[in-house]
Amino acid sequence: MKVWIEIDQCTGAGLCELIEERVFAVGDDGLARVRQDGRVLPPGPDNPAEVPDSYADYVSEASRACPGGCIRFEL
Amino acid sequence: MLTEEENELLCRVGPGTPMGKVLRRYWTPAFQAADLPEPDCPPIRVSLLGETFVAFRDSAGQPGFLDELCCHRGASLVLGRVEEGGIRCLYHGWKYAVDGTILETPNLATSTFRERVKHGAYPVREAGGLGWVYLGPPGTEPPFPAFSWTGAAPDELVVSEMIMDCNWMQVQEGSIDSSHVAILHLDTLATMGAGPRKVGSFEFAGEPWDLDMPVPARRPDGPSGERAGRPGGWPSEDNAPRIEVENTPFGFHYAAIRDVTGAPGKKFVRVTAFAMPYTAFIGGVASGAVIVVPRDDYTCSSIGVFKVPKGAGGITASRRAGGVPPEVWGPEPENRRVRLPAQDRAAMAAGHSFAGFRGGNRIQDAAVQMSEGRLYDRAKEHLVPADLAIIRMRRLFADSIRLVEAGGAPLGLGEGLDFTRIGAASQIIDAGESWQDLVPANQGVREPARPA
Repeated sequence: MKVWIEIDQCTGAGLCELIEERVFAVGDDGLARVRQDGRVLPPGPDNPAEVPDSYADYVSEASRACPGGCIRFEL
Repeated sequence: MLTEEENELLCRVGPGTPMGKVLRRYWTPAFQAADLPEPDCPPIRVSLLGETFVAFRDSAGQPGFLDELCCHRGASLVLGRVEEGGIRCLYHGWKYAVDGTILETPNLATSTFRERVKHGAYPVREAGGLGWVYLGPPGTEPPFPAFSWTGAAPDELVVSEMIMDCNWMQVQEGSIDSSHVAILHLDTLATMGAGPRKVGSFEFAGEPWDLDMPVPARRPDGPSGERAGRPGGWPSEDNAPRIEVENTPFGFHYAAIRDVTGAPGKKFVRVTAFAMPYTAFIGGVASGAVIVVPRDDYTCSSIGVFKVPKGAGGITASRRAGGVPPEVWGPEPENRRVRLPAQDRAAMAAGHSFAGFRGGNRIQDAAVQMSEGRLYDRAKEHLVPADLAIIRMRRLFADSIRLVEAGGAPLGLGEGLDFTRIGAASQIIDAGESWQDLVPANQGVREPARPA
């Protein structure tokens, strides 16, 4: 599955990283990024992380919990 | 946030709803045992999970829990006569035993009907001052959740029930929400002697304002009769606790971890355990639990059950409304529905009170939880890390819905678990110390199993 952050909408709450740290990380600027194989990727839809579909439940939960509604994913 | 569909799944509990099917797979606290004080006493009407029932106690003292309406033509059995060995409908005299057996049908002479038809009846257990019922499919009863206080004698228990006019999930989410405690309940902390505190830029003087509110262990009044504040305080100015959650065999537990004022190297942890699907063991609350049960989609009961020294409990103690004006709420059966008082805006403006509600934590909780509306639309919420326990609770319920829909059992039934050892904690510990060590019997799992 592909996951990315619409960083303009990120509120910096950090819930995503607390729920699924394999996919999300909060950067030094306090805003969320996605990771792939442990590597933090640049923000935006042009740089989605490709993660196993088996992560979908947690990614989906992080997306629901996100107060900014900024997590996007495609299965 | 939840979509409208997810919110409906989470909140609706009637027969046939996904969550209703999940909740019916657990033993459900239905009524206070003291409301059926003796054999053949008057029956009571019980609303539960969107259905209505009659509860009664037969001549041998056995409690019965039956569908409310007579299976002949639907008159309420709550109007019925409790007679030798059963309850009799007033309309045509049909009589039922506690197990739903139709004992008599005076307007039907033949016996075949009585032999072949049974009235809806449900298993009942009395424990911890409550009548618990099982509304799920026959033969699927899980182990009874024999919590530490369920074996206590009636005079060792205080049971206190508040009926609230809102969906139960709003109240349940409050039970497992630590971060509001040192904010919404500032007036309570002030009465307990916590002193000045800040909420954001608001500086609260923390002078006790509501000395009548029910809080434990009040200091003796002064020699001239002046009212004393309660001892104790709140060791942290940290209003954004870090939440750590673990799954357990009964549901989950979590720690709210706060810095300790003036003590670097220490942390203040409050551990709350949530036993699916109704019961929260709250850190800092004396031996007992808070149980939230849906009466219907828009009404619930918040029930406190607390173990007290022998002789200090019982019906009389339970009926002391202590600090809550009777026009607001009382534990008597006809007075359990909370009617919120007006906020004391003058006291708020003067800085004497933070929330402006007299009556203590439960009134303050009821005010904000009912203010969300009859059934809150969670599409409009914005969760933060302090809400992690709420997210975990929703996950367990969502997973349970999926499991039950697939023909399985829901989570947290605790097969083989010693429920008496479920615990909570509120303690200052070293920063490097593990909060899990305070509650080892909860059997928390640091990282729930995830797909690879």
